[in-house]
Amino acid sequence: MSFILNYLRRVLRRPPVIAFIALALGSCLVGYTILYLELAQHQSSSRVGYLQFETDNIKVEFPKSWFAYEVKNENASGVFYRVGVIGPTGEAYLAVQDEKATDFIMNRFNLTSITSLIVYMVNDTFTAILSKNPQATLDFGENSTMSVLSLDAQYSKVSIRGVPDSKGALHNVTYMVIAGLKQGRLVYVLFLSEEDKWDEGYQTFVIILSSIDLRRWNDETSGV
Amino acid sequence: MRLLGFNLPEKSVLIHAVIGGVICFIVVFLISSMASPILLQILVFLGITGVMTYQDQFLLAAGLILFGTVYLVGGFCGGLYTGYQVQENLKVTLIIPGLIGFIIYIVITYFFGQIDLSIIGMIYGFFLPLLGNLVGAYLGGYAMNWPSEEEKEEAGKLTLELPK
Repeated sequence: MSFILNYLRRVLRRPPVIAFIALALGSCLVGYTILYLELAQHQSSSRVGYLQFETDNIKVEFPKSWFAYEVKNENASGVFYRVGVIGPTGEAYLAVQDEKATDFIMNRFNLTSITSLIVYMVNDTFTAILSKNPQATLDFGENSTMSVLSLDAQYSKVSIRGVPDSKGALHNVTYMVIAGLKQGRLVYVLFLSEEDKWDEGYQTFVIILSSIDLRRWNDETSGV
Repeated sequence: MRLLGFNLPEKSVLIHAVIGGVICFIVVFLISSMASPILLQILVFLGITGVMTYQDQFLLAAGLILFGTVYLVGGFCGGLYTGYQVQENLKVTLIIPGLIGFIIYIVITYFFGQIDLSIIGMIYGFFLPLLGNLVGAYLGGYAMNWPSEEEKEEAGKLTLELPK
């Protein structure tokens, strides 16, 4: 035992080994410092424990334990803009399309109204789940209207039982689709959460939704 | 053989350096397959997964953490083996394990389609792994061949053999 300790003591005193340990620990420390500074820099000024995600298109606040991303696609069919905010108690997706992209979506799927769009989206999601679990069931819950992102939107809340995850375990998921039109531009928001986490997740979702500032949406001259 | 003032390594030395490179790659491959999920679990545990939103800075920070925990360690292990087998011309020989480990890693990464050609992607995917493997290999190789205190004392002593 003492031989091993003596050997280690001799080896650990060698300058290359000291440099190796210092470099390994130093780089981890610098990496963690960058993460910490990034968190401090994007801390929300109005809500404790929330971060701010700000781009040319959007400003949104979300809890530290969630993360957000944005995707913008521009092609011959129009401008499609998406933001996803994902966390431990739910997933929220916001999508905005310009007039051209809205017409494209409505024509392609033969949709005539926001209600038909919501029904189509729910069915589309359920069909995808059915292909993975044919025993899954869908229950329509609430259907109503709400004011969101300064427009009167319609929403539908459904429960889907038997949603498989990547490991094959089944979950009961509550799914909400909110959609509305403003000057020919379509905006829709999806929120889904496991049934037992719904209350906690929905509270966070409402805060996230209320913090959204869709800059391009409010700017009448821009594409989205 | 000499080229640009350096002695080129012999065949047996090259073989050991290549084996060192393979060891470097295997260690990098094994640790990196565990390091990313562990890093994610640490972020989840600390409740700061939100930091992943700021991708450029997050990639830079994650790259630095992986530099210290994966690439440097991989290079060091490859360098230890090469340094154990080879005692001469280390300055040239120890480039090989780091480079070979890096090249195999990049080829595998390319086939898995994980190469990002943005500036941050190049730092994260090319520069830090290459630097980590090279520096690690040198440190490992020299750690193996660094004279210990006792050896230094031995080298400093004059031995006089007096005729009887």
